[in-house]
This record gives sequence, C-alpha cells and structure tokens, in this order.
Amino acid sequence: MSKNRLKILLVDDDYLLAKGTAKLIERLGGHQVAITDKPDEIFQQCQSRAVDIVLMDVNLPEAVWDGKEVSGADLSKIIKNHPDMADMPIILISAYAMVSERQKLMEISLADDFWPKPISDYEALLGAIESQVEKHLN
Amino acid sequence: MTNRIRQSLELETILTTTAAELRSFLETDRVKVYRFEPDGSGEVIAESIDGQRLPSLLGLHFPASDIPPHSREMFIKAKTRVIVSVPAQQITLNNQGNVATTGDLTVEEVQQTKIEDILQRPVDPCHVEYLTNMGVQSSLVVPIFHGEKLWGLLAGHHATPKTFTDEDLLMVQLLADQVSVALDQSHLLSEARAKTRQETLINQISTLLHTPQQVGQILENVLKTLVKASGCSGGRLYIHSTDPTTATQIYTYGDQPQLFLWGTQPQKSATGEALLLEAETFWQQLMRQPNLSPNTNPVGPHDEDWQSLRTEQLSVSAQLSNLNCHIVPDLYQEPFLTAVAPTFRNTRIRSILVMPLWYGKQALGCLTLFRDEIDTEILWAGRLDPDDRNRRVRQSFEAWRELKLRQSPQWHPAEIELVQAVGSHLGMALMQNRLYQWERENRLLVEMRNRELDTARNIAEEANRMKSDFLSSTSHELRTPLASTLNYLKLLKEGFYDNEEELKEYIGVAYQSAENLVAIINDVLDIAKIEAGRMSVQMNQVDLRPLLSEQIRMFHVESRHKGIPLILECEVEQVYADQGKLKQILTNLLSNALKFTPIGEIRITAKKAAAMSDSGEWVEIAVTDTGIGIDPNQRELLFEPFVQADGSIKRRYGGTGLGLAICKRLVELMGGRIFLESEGLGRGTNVRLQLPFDN
Repeated sequence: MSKNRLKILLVDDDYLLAKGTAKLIERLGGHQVAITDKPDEIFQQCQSRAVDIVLMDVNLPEAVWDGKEVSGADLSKIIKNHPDMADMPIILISAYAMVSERQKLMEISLADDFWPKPISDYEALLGAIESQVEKHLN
Repeated sequence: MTNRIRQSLELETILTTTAAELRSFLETDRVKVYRFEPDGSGEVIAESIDGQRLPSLLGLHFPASDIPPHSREMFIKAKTRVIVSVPAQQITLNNQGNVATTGDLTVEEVQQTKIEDILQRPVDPCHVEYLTNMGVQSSLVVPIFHGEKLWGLLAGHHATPKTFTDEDLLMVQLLADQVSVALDQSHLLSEARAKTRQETLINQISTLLHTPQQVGQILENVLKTLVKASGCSGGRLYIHSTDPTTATQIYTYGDQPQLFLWGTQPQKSATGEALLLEAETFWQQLMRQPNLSPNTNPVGPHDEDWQSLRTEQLSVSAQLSNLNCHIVPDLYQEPFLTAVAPTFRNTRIRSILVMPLWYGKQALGCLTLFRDEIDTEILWAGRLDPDDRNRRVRQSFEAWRELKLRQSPQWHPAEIELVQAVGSHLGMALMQNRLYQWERENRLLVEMRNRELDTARNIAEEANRMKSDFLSSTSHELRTPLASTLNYLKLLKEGFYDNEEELKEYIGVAYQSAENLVAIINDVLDIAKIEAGRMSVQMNQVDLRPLLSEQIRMFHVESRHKGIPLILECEVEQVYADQGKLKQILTNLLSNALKFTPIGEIRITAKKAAAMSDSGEWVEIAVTDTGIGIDPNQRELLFEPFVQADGSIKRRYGGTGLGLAICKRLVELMGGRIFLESEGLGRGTNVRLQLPFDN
C-alpha cells in the first residue's frame, strides 16, 4: 500500500502511557496521532472524519455519555451503531488480556480488532492499523 | 308359641320363653332347660314352675354322673326320650319283660342296640328313685341338639302322676327342634357380634395407629384400648431399639408388677431404674422364636435348657403356636417365671399372654397382657356320692356352694384371635413407622449432604471466581505500568527523543512505572503469603512518634502537590508491634487517604484506646480523611481481598484492591484489630487500628 500518512485517534486516560504509544506510532509508522479520553471529542473527530481510525482503550474512568458512565467498549459500540460513523475502523486496546475478557469486549464493542497491553510488537500493530483503514475505504 | 319363642334372638330369653310356653302347654308343674358342660356336668339355665309345686332348680349344677354317658348316648341315638314315671311304673314304653334297663348298658351297647329296643325299655330303678326323691312323679325329657352335639335337655316334671299324650310328645319334640334352631341362630348371632366387636376394635386401633400424633402417644392409646377391650387388667408394649442410638421403648397400662422387687427385698437394678420384664429370658426367647412349639428345634445360646424346660412346662403353659401367642394360665406355676413371679405378689395378676410382634422375620418387640385371678362359685345340686348322708343332702335339695378362690382366668380363642389381629396390625404400624423414620433420617441425611455439597460447591465456586477476578485484576494492574515501561524503554532504545530533557523524562517515566510494578507485585505476594499462613511478625516496643513523623515526611511531596495537609496528633510514645509491618500498614492507609481525598485534610492521631474489655492498655492509631467516603453497606467487604467499593473506584483510582485486606491481616497478626468507618459517600473515611500498648 502507498505510505499514506494516517490520522489516528488514540483514546486513553493514562496520559503518560498514551504519550509513549503515540510517539512510537508516529515515529515508526509516520502517522499522525491525537490523544483524548473525552467522549465528546471522540464523536466529534469521528463524525467530522478528522481521523481515519480509532485506537480505543477500554478503561476510561470518568467518561460519561448520555448521563451514564461509559467504557471504551461502550463508546465503540455507539460509533459502530451510528449511521454516520459505522464505517469508522476501531481497534480496542486493553490491559484486560484474558481470552474470556477479550471475547466479551469484542462482542460488546463491535470493534474490528483487539490488541492487549502492553504492545510489544509495534510493527504488527501498524500493519493492523493500515489494513483496517484500507478495508474500510473499500 | 313358636312365634313368641322366635321373637328374640337372645338365647336366655328364648329358653325362658320356651320353658314357660311348654309348661303352659303341657299343664305340668315344672319345665326346665338343662345345659351340658363339656365335662358332662350340667346346669339348669331356664326354668318355669307352677307356683310352689316343685322346688326351683334354676342355676344349680349337676355332676356328670347325674346323667351318665350311656344315658346321654341314648338321648343322642333316640332323639326323643320319654320317661313317664310313676311309683307304679304304670306307663313305660317297654313291653319286653326281660330287657335290661338303661343303667345296665354301656355306651357301646347303646350304640349297637336297635332303636326300637331303646325306646321300649324299663326305667332304671335308681332313676325312678332319683325322681321320686326330687318329688317328681312324672317326667318327660327330650334332648336339644346343637348341630350333631347333644347340647342339653328339655324336661317337664309333674309332682303327681301324669299321662302325656302322643300329641304332647310331638309338640315337645317340635319345640326342642325349635330350640335347636334358635341355638344355631343365637350362636351365629353371638359369633357375628363377636366378629363385629373385633372388627370395630381393630378399626378403632387402626384409626388410632394412624392419628397424627406422636408415636408414643399413639402406642399408649392403642395399648389402653386393647387392654380394656380384651378384658385384661394391664398390659405392656415393648419395642426393641432400632439401633444403638435409640432407646428401647416400653409402654404400660393398668396393673403392673413391681419389677424392682426381687425376692422379698426391694431391689433396684444397678442403674437405679426398674428392670424390664421383657429383659427376662422368658420374653427374650419368645421374641426370638416366633412359632415356638414342642416340635420346633429352637435356636439360640441356651437352647438345650430352654428345650428341656419347654417340655416340662407344656403341662402348665398353653401353647398356641399357630396364633403366635404364648399363654401362661398361671404365672406361679410357670417354671420360667420363677424369678419374676415374686414381683407380681402385690397384684392380682395371675395369667399372662405374650405376643411377640413380628414383621416378616424381623422381631419388633412384644405385647404382654395381664389378667387378674378370679374367684369362682358353683352351686351344686348335691354331689354324687354313694354315701347315704350325701343322699340325704341331695334329697333336701340343699345347694352345695363350691367357692374356688384365685383361679386362673380363661382365655377364649376369640379373645386370643383378637389380640393376635391387633398384634399383627401393631407390627405393621411399627414397621411402617420404623421405615418412615429410616426414610426420613435418610432423607435428612441426604439433604444435609446435599446442603454441605452445595455449600462446598458455592465456596469452591466463589473461591474460584475470586481467584479468577484476582488474576484478572492483577493482570490488568500489572499490564498498565508494564505497557508504560515498555513504551518508554522502546522510545529510548529507538532513540526517539529530541533532546536531553526528553531523554530524562522517558527514563523517569520508565523507572516510575517499573517501581509501580514492583509495588503491585509486592502486594500480591504479601496477600498470598498471609493467606498461606507464612507471614510472621516480629513484635517489639516501637517508638511511635518518630515512626509517624517519618510517614508524614514520606507523603509530604504528594500532600503539598494535592493541597491536602497531613496533620499529626501523637499522645502516646510507644506501641507493641512489628515496626516494619506497622509502617507498611500506615503507608497503605495514608496512600489510600491521599488517593481518595480531593479536598480537605488528613489527620493521623495516636492515643490510649478507650476502655477495652481485655486487660492491658491499648493504643489506637487513626487515619481520618475528608475524602470520598464509603457506602456503609460495603464497609466490611473492603477488608476482603480483591474487593473494591465498586468498579468505577477501581477505574478511577487504580490499585489491586489488596491494600486494606493486607492491613487487616497484618493488624490481626500483631494481635490488634482494625475498624473502617464512614458516615457515607462523600463524607470522609476513618480507619482506626488498635494495638497493645506493651507486652
């Protein structure tokens, strides 16, 4: 694929962790990464097509949508069920790494892929990001 | 006449009516109904007399020799027997001068003699004399049959010579036949009545057996009913114990022997309780051998003795092997009861019926019934004795009163049958009850096992769930700092930093993340160690003030950063504790307080504890914050490992949820206790730990 510079939205409440992850993706993949943990901002970025893909953390303390506390998996589901955003590729990234948790989260979130923390193979993650974007463009 | 006789089914009425009607018909002085006893003696049981013309014989007994066997045989053979006897013997049915009188014949000869010859036979001179002595000049006698048996006689006597016509004879014969029919009916009636009584009683007892009451109460009632219905003076119901844990049961009603009285001296058993009659060999043997009879080969340890005694006693004890009952007509005559007989002395009990209760081949116990001795009185119409003096007595019709005291009461087959029937019902009911008990016990046992299994399974499931939650939480908590560490180390490795400052920042974050990892791992190891019982404490007198000051200093930076002041109030100098563990606890508590307090202050106080129930002095160290507080319902839960107030707390504040659990266990290891208090969400938290002041 052509080395398109992708706009990636990284959702994580742990700023230091997110900052390190973003830096690695930018440096290794040449993409542009924005970081947030605010639901409003996530929806706004997705709806306006300001981003090509969302890397969504599941644990989002203090994230509230529609008056309810929501997790990253909940937000992913809202996006996937929204007519304007349904085609937005979403990859879940979570420290919940057990197989049972992973399956449950995938079912709830309707996300396209799941990556457990810590991410050690960034090359592979970048490959997954690029293939998801390409898949959703077609 | 026959209609009047038939009006009643009551035998006594029938016979009395018969006598009266017959006397009126024959116009004779006296008509009597004479009934034979099995031994050949007889009694006048109904009578009709014309005024004082002849003396009354009613209720008098006559010896067997009065109407000897050959005479009775003649009645049987001839069916009708007429004696018309006058001093001149002018009317006899005999016209053969050389025929022997009835008195000269044996029973065999009577049976072999032709009926015509029997009917035509001169009256025995002694009989003539006998009648004459009784003031009878004319006599007419017909036999009354019950089935094929000679039941009694119907006799008409006249004080003066009287001629009976053929018509009279015919009528008397008809009446005798009527009486026979009446006897049959009456017999049937009494049989039916007895059967009804028996069925009623059995029904009554069956009903009792199935009333919704305590088993003991039911059995008591059944015994009472049976004793009363069977004309006994007392009874006992003995029930074996089903297993070593249940006691033998004994129910008694009515007269009982005084079992602690042995010989002439009152004596109790070693346990101080009255001994059980049923513990005696006699009862034990009966219970062991359901159908004991002389022909049965008994089994058991003392069988030879039993067998020999059994043979001896047969003359005394009535054996009813087919009925499964054993009757001792006279307990003082029974060799096997020699040992217990004295205990009956204060009672009038003389006869015993023992019925072992069986269900199939299983002995359940036995039923024992007592009957009192009876006094009998017989009025003899003289005694047959060749002695002249006796003859004079007989002539004078003076009744001989024979009084027999302390007689063994009779047990009629119908009564025994009744006891037997009730006994088999009892056996069934006892077995049913026993089975029900077993079934219930088994069911309870199974239910208990199931509950235990359920509990065990729930505990195991809960433990498993907690373990997997713990693993999940721990894994999650470890992965986050690990991700940071790896991220920054990779940035450093790849050289993705623009300047020295950025380099230092990356190294700092990686280092801090690794330190967090170590803290979590230490917590996990701690709790695992405590749970495994491998954590030990080193107790010493610890200087409290410097220790608390050091804690404050440790959190000084964080406190100033969050703007939450840490205030220390220390009123005691020392505490008896493990210094390292105490530090660990305080670090945990202060860290929690800072983590959960966005605004306000945190206060650490140390003072002598308020009066405690235990002896010795105590120190109370409290960490009080103005933080988010705790829902009171979840207070105690927080001391459990792997539990946090709720998921959002964990998401918001992190942590493995092990801190308080570790604190509680460490405090307890040091012999102290810990309390977590909060006035509710948003209203701060107060953790108090109490430790001994000194050892």
